[in-house]
Amino acid sequence: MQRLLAIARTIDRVNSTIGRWASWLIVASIVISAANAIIRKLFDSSSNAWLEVQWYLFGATFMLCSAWTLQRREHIRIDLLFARMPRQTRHWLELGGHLLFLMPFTLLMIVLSWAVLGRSVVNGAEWNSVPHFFGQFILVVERIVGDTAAMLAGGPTRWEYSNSSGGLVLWPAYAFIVAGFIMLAVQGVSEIIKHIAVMRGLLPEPSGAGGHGPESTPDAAKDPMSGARA
Amino acid sequence: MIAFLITNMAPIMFVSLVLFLLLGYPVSFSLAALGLFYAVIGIALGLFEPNFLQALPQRVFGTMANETLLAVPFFTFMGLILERSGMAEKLLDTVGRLFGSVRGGLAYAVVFVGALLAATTGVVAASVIAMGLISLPIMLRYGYDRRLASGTIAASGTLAQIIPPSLVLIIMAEQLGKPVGDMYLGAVVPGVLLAAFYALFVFGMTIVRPASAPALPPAARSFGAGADYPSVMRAVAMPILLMVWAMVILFVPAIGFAIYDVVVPFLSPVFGLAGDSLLWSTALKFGALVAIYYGFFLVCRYGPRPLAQALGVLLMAASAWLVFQSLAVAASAIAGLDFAGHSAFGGLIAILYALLIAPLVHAAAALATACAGSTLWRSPRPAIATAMMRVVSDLLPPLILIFLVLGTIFRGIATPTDGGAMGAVGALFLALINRKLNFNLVRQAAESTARLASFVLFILIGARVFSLTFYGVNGHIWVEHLLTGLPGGQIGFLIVINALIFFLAFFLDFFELAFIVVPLLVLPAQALGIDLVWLGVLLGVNMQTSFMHPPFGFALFYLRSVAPTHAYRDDVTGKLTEPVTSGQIYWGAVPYVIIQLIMVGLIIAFPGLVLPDKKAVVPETPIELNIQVPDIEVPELKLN
Repeated sequence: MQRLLAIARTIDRVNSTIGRWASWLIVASIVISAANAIIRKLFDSSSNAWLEVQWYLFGATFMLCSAWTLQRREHIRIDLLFARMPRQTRHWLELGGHLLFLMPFTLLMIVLSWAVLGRSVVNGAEWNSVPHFFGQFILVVERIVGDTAAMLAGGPTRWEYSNSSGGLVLWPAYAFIVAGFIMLAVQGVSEIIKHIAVMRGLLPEPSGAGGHGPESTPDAAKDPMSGARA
Repeated sequence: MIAFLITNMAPIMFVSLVLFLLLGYPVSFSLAALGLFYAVIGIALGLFEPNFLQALPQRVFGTMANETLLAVPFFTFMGLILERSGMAEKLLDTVGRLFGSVRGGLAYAVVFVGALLAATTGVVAASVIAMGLISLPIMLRYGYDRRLASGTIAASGTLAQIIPPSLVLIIMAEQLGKPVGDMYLGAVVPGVLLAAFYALFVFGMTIVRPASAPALPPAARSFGAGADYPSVMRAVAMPILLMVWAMVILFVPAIGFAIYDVVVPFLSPVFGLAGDSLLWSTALKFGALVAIYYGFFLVCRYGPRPLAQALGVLLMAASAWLVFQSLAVAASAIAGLDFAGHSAFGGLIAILYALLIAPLVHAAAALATACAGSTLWRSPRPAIATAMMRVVSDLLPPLILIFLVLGTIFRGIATPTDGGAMGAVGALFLALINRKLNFNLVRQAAESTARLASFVLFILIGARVFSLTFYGVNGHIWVEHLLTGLPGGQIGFLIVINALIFFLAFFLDFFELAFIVVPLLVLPAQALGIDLVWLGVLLGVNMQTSFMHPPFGFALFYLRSVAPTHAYRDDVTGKLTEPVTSGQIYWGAVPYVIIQLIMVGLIIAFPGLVLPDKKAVVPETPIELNIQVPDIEVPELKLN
């Protein structure tokens, strides 16, 4: 169990670190968006690529921060009944939710979006000819590296672009989706470990029930930032 | 059994969703997992093709590649930075003093500042926390009724939910498939009306129970040594009207420009230099306002006495001329009245218009020049000039931000997303100027924004996964039949869904309502010929109540977290002050929830409040109104 807890701690650390870094992308998105607006007005020129960068960054932010949000129990819930349940029941419910709701959903999304990512850099027939994940992984990495090199050298690339003219390469956006769901699934594992540990008395009860309601209301005087949600 | 499952898949899905959501597992994952579960069942039953779920990644991608939703984190970030920029504190302090001399003045100030902050940001927390920290202790100190004080603060904070640029309206626009700009325009009148109703309620309280909202004693509204209250009030009259004028120029240039010909006709040749260029004439006319203000300030601050007095006399003369002009305008408006074809009520309105609205510009200008003239007559008074400058510099930042965000959106210069980004940059600048900007602030704001964006977008993703299956089993058609079959047509539908949303708001918060319930209303509303912008604003006003009552009354929670929980000794009076109980906060919000419902009724009765060119849905609207009127008495009773 101690070993599992160490794994959980590592997962938490990695996901929260990625989340903290990724949240800066929203600042970048704001700056780019404001600059876009001003340039469009003053110089009457706009670029689809720069417009798309805005939501690429936004997509990266919310996908990469989701696991961290789960870790901090900030994915909202209806805690009308939840807040009134005994602690043990809440742990069982969370455990059941993670195992039956979160894990199947994230695993399915990883598989499905991985295929979408793959097909955006490798053509369909070639993709279907590689049945194993490792083969696919190598193919995707090879293609991304190869095309990046080709792009830098000014040569032709084979990857998919967005539909708008002058649009961006699509695979990074898909990659954020894959990465986000992988992080969520891994965070789910960490949460499951932690809930079991708490139920066995190996971890102290986490403070705050999560979700919302009078007892879990952020203490706005001390940390007004936690009041972002309203 | 299987046949029953197949035909009743939609109701079964809906009921099980409600049950699972109530268990309390995060909404986003519950939605997604249930959607997947029923998709698998649907595939097993042969309802769907086996490759049904392959559409999922594209659905996630679709939520990502959505420029409208980008505005949500932008406005959130802006709100978080503004909250710490010191703007709200200064604004409350200044406006509180300005309104201080009237009974209930502090409560009016809270409503006014709440509306101003609401027009700069879409975040409730910011204004409630600022007002709870600054205004509540002062209100308690001078003996305000605790329920009135806390209710007014909480309700005014929720104005951010309906006055553009609000997050509710962005998400509503996205869900209803309407432009955010239309939604914003539609919400202006209802939002302003709501603020006016709040103020009206405060006014009613000062009449019914004068002790519940006393005026501030002179010491509490002084502007510092040498700057007595009446003199400062006189001095700021002109600057404040100049600011109003400037805002009119920025939002509706045609009206703003027309005022020049009325007030300063002798300057027309100067403005003629700009020719037809809107940009240049705006710049020139704007510059004229700034020059007038600075001229006034400099003479007031440094001017030699004879010069100041001479100018004062000149301004008084101008004021007399303007009074004469306004009387002339009113007289000619009255002479021009045509009562033929008007009902008695319409005639009354026309008379009121002729007496009050038509001469308004002249009268306001007369007031401003008279006040400025008398200030200069007594000058130079450096303390007064300094106090005036402070008032102006405290009032200006929110106005600039409002133009930066709303002005650009309404005039079609920027999309709501651009507006959000510019507002965020503006907020950063403001924090920089107030020396509140630091790395930690930006980091915290970015991290809070990112997590908010994350849970909001994941609810949306969950809802899309659920709806893929739900629509796949024709759930939307089931809901449509359910709702279009209601008796009473449009009105019946609107009453039922508003009652439903009001009821659901006790269980779901607004993100959940907007992503789960609102999409289901689109088809039935369209089938009944209901304008979706109107519907969106209507539901926005309705959902605003969910911030004011338990269990998700965030405005109440934020206020609770900053209101005193223990008896404390007041800094100024030294009196032991009782804490504010949660019961007082909750009961204080009740009258405002009722005001909110009255507003819902008014919007249903008068679609013109949202859509100026639309007539009432049903001809017999007065009946609707009559039903609503008795409610107005209720709030006063509840507080007693």
